[in-house]
Amino acid sequence: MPKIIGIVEDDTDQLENYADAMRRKGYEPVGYTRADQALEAFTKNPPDLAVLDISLGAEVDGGFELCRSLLAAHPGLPVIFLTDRVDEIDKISGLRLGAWDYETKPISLNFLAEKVAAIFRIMESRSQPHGKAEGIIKTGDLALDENRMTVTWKGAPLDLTLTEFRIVAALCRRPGDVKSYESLMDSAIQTVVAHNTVNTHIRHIRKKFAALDPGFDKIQNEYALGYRWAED
Amino acid sequence: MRLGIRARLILLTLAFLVIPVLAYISSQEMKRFMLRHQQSSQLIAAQALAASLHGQYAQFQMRQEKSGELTDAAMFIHRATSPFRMDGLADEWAPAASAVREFGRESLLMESGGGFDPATGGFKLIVARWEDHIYLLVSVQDETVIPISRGWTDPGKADHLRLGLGAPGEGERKYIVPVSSDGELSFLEEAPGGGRVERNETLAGRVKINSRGYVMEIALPESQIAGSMTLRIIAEDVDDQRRGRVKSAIGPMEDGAPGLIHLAYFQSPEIQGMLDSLDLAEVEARVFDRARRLRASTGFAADVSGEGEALRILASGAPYYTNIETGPNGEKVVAAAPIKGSDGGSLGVVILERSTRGADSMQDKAMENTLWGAFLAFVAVAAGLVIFSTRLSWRIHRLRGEAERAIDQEGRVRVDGLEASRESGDEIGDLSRSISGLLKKLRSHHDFLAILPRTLKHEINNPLNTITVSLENLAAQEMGQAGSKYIQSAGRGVARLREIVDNLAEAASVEDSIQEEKFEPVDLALILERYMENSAGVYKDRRIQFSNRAGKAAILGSDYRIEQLLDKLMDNALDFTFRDGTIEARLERMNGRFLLTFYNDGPPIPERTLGNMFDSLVADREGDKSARTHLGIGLYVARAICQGHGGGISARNTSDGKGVEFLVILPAARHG
Repeated sequence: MPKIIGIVEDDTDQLENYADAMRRKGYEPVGYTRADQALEAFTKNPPDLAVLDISLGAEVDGGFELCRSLLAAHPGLPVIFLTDRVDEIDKISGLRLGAWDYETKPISLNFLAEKVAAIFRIMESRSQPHGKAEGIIKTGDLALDENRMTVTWKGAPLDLTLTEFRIVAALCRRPGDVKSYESLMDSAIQTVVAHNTVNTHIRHIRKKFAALDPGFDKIQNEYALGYRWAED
Repeated sequence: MRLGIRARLILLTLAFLVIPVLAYISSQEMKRFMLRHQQSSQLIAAQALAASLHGQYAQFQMRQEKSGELTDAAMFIHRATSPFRMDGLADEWAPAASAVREFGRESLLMESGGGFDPATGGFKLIVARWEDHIYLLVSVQDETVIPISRGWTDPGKADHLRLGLGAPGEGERKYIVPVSSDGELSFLEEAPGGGRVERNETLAGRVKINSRGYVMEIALPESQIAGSMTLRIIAEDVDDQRRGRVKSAIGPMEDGAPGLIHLAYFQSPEIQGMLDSLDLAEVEARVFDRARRLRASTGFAADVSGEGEALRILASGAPYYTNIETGPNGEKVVAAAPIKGSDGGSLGVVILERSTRGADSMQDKAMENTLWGAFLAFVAVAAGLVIFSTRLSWRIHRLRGEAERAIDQEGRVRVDGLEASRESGDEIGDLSRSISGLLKKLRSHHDFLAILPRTLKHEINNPLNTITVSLENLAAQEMGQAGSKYIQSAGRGVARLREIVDNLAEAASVEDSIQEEKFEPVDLALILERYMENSAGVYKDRRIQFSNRAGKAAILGSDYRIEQLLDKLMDNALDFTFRDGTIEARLERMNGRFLLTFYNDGPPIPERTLGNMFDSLVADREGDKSARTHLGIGLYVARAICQGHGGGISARNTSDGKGVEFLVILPAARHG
């Protein structure tokens, strides 16, 4: 039985494009352009995953409201924000509400589908009593389970978004090697926009590590190229 | 030279200085006018006085002439107003100077031996009266004064005067008065017919010998001359005391009597009374007779020098006035009118003297008042102007300062309006309000421009997203080779559009986002070293170099912003450097700052662009052949990053014209 993907997007053209792409990947998309309609429908029949835009017609923060209500009704529901709002404050607000990821448009449809697939994989892994041994990376104090999307630093769990998780995973897979900006974007399933986008993700990741360990300095900038995970 | 409003206004007040000048000119005019007025009125007064004197004077003159008292040769007795000290000094005689009579060569009565020496023997005589005594002042010129010695029996062997009192031949008493060395005069009376001499005690006098001769002061009772009104006086000069011979004798000669002088009381009571009754303020009036003797006067001015001239003019018989200087600053008007006799000849002259002090003091007073007035007006107006102009300057200064601060270096309006002179109703207030209005319009325009990229991005993003996802979906269909080619080119176009929009949005927000960032100490040298090394690895067709002369270069900043800055500089350099061209970064330390010189081989930047190439949407370099989008946003962002770090950026062409240097200055982190 195909997974149901709820899509809420006020632009009908985009909505249909996303729905077509999802359908092509074997999912069953359910699309709405208005928050109230979506809330009513999803409350009765929750989708397996929701992709929400933030601005919905006249409701500037309609997506946030919708996310809050949906997660209140269905706490385990994975939500991805897909929006053209790039401000930090929006991203932080969205992630605080409990979204798995916050993606800014334009996103490649393939990447979107991959993200969705990754989330389903992770959820599935998490539902298994024991994770598989493959996909587990350990380097120094870092332990990372790619399947379950869990990260621990010195034993303490770290809460990363899907994008951040994939960047850390890409970096620590080969400690010491430089990961270029482009490859980091690929790993994060993001279209290349600018170095600055990667920089912003790295800053968030460093901040989260630093919150656990103020002396954290494993992620090093290789200026003009990209980043690398420092070898121990 | 540039003059401010205040300086100009103060210069204008100097125009007030013309007031005293004008006042001086007009007071001079006024003085001239007053002088003319004084001259003519004085002349008229003199003529009137002369006319009114005519009858009485003629009578008086006639009476005296008839009584034989008065001839033209008669000498007047000066009426003294104070007693004389018998001390042989002539000082208290000054008021009587007009009554002096001189006897010189023409009065030589006798001489023996060599020729007459004009320096010797001549004398001056003044006769004056005080109460019931007649006083004589006799100043004799004598180079060799021989006083009488003790034991001499013949007083004639010393220099002496011969005096005769009373009418000749009618009981006249004759005296010899020798010069004495002790100053006391003795009056030796000759017995009638010559012979014995006896000392007369009723007469008294003193003598004083001086370098020019000797001066005798003699007092005698008025009764001695009252009957005859004559006096006989002869000065006999003795130069050889052994021989005791009289060398010369000087004295008047009248009516065949040697030494005889007719005396007359000069006062004509009627004329004097008339002058007194005139009570002329500040006017001195004198009446002279035709023999130039003063007959009546008000005041007793010693200085009668001016009268001589007036009297000389009198010869013409016409009224006359003249101005005579009486001192360095003094002047007087002398007006003379003849007293006509019945025969048409002149009987005498009336002279009125008045100093021009009145006109002078009026001029001085007027000048003083004007000067004070002008000075006070000048001070008041200057003070007013200083206050006014200071305030005006201050207001304009403040307005200018505020207007300048209203727009920052990048030309952004920082305020809604100006505070300076906002409420005032004058022109500056108008100016302030009009500038405020302009600023408001400018600001709303700027605000519009500032949000334009974001609005644009927001508005364009949606359709762009639609196109992007649609293209992707299209690509997922089987389109054939031609179809997918077009889809790819459409995709590139969309990507390019998006880059433009993103760049615009980034530029619009870069300053604000740098402001919000937290800076940490970073090593600029290390970043540069790695950056240039990595870039050299990526761009192998350029010679990318780094030279560090600063050592460790700690700055307070954001490493990825510095990297972004270097990206912009590198992008720019890559765009203009041909294959195998050099791109070089040099880092130096200077005065607590670091200078990063980012050089690239390439065409020079046109001069017109150098000044504004860091402003947004300015991209103007020939030789840019790349297909990349160029909105001039890169350098704008670069400048924002530099300024966000407390530094700055500028660009210049190298002197050889073969390359371009971007100069980035960033402040060093302070230790501690």
